[in-house]
Amino acid sequence: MLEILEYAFMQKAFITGIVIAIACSLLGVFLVLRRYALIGDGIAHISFGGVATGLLFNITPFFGALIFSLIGSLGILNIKAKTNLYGDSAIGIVSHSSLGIGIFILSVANGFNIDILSFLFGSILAIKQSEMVLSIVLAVIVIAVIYFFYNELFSITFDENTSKTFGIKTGFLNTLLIVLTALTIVGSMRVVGLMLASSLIILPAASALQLRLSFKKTLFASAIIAVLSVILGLYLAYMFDFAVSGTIVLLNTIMFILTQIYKKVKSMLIKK
Amino acid sequence: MGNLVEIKNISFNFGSTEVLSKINFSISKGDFVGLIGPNGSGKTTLIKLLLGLYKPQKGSIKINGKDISEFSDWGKIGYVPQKATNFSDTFPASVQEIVLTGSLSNKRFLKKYTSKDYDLALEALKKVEMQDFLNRRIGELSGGQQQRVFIARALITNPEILILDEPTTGVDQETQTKFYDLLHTLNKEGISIIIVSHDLQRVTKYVTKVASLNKKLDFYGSHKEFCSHPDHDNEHHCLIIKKGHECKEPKCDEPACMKEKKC
Repeated sequence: MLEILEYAFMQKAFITGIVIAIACSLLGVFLVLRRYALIGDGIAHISFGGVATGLLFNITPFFGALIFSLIGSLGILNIKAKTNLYGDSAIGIVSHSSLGIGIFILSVANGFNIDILSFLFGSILAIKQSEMVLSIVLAVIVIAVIYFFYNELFSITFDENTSKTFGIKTGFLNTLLIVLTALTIVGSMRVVGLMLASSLIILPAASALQLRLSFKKTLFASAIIAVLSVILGLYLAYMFDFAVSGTIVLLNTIMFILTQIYKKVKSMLIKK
Repeated sequence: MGNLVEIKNISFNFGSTEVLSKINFSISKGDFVGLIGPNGSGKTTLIKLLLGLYKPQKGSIKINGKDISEFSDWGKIGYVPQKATNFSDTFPASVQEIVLTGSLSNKRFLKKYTSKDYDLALEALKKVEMQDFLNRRIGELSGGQQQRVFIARALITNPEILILDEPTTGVDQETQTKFYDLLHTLNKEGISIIIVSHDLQRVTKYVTKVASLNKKLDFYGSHKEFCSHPDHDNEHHCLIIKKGHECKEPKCDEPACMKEKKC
């Protein structure tokens, strides 16, 4: 079982996957509770535009995705502030515009190729050293920011209006959350791909929230669920030649189902 | 002694809609002010102006003699909302985690909790008799208990003023009575209180002043003066002090009670 760790590509996959899983799952708790769960999908669409632009102009797709997702995230906030549209409409406008740009660029560049598919569906087993470093740096930034701003992020997640009366800069923190989401989506590109990146944010958090714990324990539970899914997912994918991204997401789904079963059994035992 | 809060000629619009017009009154230390008025009368807007969340288009607000635009000691003002923004019974937070957030108003850059903050959180919970619920999840508590936790959150910084915006919505009558008894105790300990209410019935015994708002300030003065006015003497909370009326539950034969279905 441990022999898979002798391979350099598996070592890179495990390290990247675990660090990204932690970042996504911690951020996911805040986003799910604030009802911003699907913003990850929106940013993934935006990132696709950046990847396509990067491939067209021979710029590292990672940087293309990062630039597009950061500009796009701030664009979402700008549209929301300056128009009467709700957040979901603003996300839809920016994300689908960027998706359109991406598809247009690819048609001009003579269609899809294997490079773009690897960003759409993930290719953690083929991750380059530079991409691993970039993913880890982005994930560490996300984890560090959550650590330093933890108390304020918790406060605005629970009660944003009253948090304003504490002098907390809620506007800045909302922008920060969206920027962190952009960083995690880009960091997750190689792990599970843009199509499924949002699942690493939503599923572990949703599972942990079923356990009815304190906030800190929910964060820990979310991270543990995400990391277990990545480790088991990589192992199963290696053993049975499954698609890594799909296996990881399926395992996350199974974890969610298991938490539901746990909840039911617990309530039945309490009634007895 | 100067006034704790001075509101001078405050006017406020949302776009072209006038919400508040030329509001003038002041609050002294130890006051317990009931802020009443119909829906849309500007009560919550006035509260948000006092909390610095809105800026008045005309007039000024001073807290402890300092203009609100320069006021930074927000720990001196405790706020208890009607309901927390994203709160539901499934929100994963312990009572301690929620009360601690109140101490963030006293912190500047790196807002980390110290051991003193944890002690203050416990002290605040003791004041509201919720210290045994420190590690319980907020969703497991009753409505009345949850509101006590929110009061503890507001008390952690030892505020001089406590502002409550319809804090007993959805809470049963017996719990409301206990809740207002608690506010009365805090007021006797020196905390000035401003409470927004649709109905002063429950808090009648305790308020020292009534501010009646309907875009303009219709009345500001003692509760007795309010009830002495012919326009108000048939209000249920006035009957309680004027005629010594007490509701006879479950059904009361006092005309005002029967009309308003107060009892």
